[in-house]
Amino acid sequence: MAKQQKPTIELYLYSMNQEFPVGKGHVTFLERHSEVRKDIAGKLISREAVASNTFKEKVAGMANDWSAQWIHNQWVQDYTKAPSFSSRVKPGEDVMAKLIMRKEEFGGLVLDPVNDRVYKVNAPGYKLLEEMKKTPAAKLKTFKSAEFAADEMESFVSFLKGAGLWTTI
Amino acid sequence: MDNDIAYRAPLKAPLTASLWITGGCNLACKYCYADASRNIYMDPARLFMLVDEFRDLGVFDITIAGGEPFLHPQIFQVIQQILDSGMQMGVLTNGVLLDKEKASRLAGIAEGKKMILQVSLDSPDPRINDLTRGMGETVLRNIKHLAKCGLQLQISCVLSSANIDSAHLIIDELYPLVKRFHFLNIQRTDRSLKHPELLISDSQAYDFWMRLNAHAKKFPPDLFLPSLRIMLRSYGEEESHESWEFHKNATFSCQSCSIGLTKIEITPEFDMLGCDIAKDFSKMGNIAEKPFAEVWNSRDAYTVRNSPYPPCYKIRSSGDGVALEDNLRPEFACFR
Repeated sequence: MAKQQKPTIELYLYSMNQEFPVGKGHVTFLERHSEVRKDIAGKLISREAVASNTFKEKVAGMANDWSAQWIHNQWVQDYTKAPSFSSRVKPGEDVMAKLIMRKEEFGGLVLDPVNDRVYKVNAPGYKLLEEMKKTPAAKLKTFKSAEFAADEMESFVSFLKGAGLWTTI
Repeated sequence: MDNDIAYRAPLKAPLTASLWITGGCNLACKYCYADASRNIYMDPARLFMLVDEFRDLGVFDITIAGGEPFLHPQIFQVIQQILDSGMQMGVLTNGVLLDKEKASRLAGIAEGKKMILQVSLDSPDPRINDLTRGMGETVLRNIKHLAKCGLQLQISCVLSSANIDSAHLIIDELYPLVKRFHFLNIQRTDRSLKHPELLISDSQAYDFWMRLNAHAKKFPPDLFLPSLRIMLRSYGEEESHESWEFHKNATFSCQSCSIGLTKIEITPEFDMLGCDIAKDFSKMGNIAEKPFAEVWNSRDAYTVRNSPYPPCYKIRSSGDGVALEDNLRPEFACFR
């Protein structure tokens, strides 16, 4: 019997507020920012414009990589008043219970309405997250899936923790 | 065939949809990018059906916009239906019509639901606000009352030369009654280009965002500035060649693009657009008499979604207004 595909989850939208999906963002766009036009003599020339990913003020650790900073909120920590500014989670708030899930052909999308972020899951990931959402936060620490072995869901859980979605009260 | 599988969207529906439920407005802001001069209202019957379609497809968030949404005769029923369907919701208003009676009614509908009411105000000082918008005194009074009714408010403030030095002080005036403040740079719209004195330079904008960042640190962590992070991040150093003029000459300079993929706009005539700025160049179809999904997965929608550049970068201003200029001809596709 073929082994079941592992559940996966990834960030899809940094924010629903005027943002774009990962992979259709600045980096992709700026790399494609080229044009062809006629010069003064009427000869066709190509021109390329590239914007660097460098901030005016350097950020320690992840300098020059804004997308990494953004995902990890390093940028927010360095540029705004406090790390907590990046998260609108109140202490004790059960973020996982509030996740809104939507099925798609590839698996599904998950909205974290507290932090306004959207994640993408594959079909096993969707199934696993549904299972987790049904588990009370108090029992999440000892969560065992009926479908997936501990090693299969290890990286999935690790991602949830990193994203602040694994709330154990 | 339009519904050929080749044209199907990667997602079964957008994540957010913006409904321009009227084309009319009771203000005439000098920089507005909406064509809000037509007394036209979305047909309520189709509108209610559309909300059901969005709910069934799993759209996360609906924004009600216009024109001025509170001019629509069925606005309260529309809001009620969206909130009852469980979707998140935002309403963008100029706040002029939201007197005490309407505020109380709205608060009753929104109680315990996920609704953010965004009210536009450019300055707490009516003399400054009215240089660009008008009715500042009324709006400020209404905002304070709306907040006291328990509605979750967000202030939208457009940065222009009129308020660029003091716009951040709007927080001082309204916090903690209001905890969300959305600032945005004035755009080069048809209308704002008629008031060039209001436009701001990149360095003025940059200084503002830095000032706002510093100012925000004086407030508790529950102050939420949704555009701050996005805008500061956008001000990376540019190593641009001569052709960057291409960008600078564009009528609009939008910093992000999710066109036709995660976000859509629906006009009062039920035209479905991929972008609220590049309106004329991002039409995906009309859903007045067709199901949403049919247009969402159509060839026209596919074309908008997969354009090599965001369409705003194809718009140039000229003496006669804006015009589409295809900068990448098919024979140079290798440059894409």
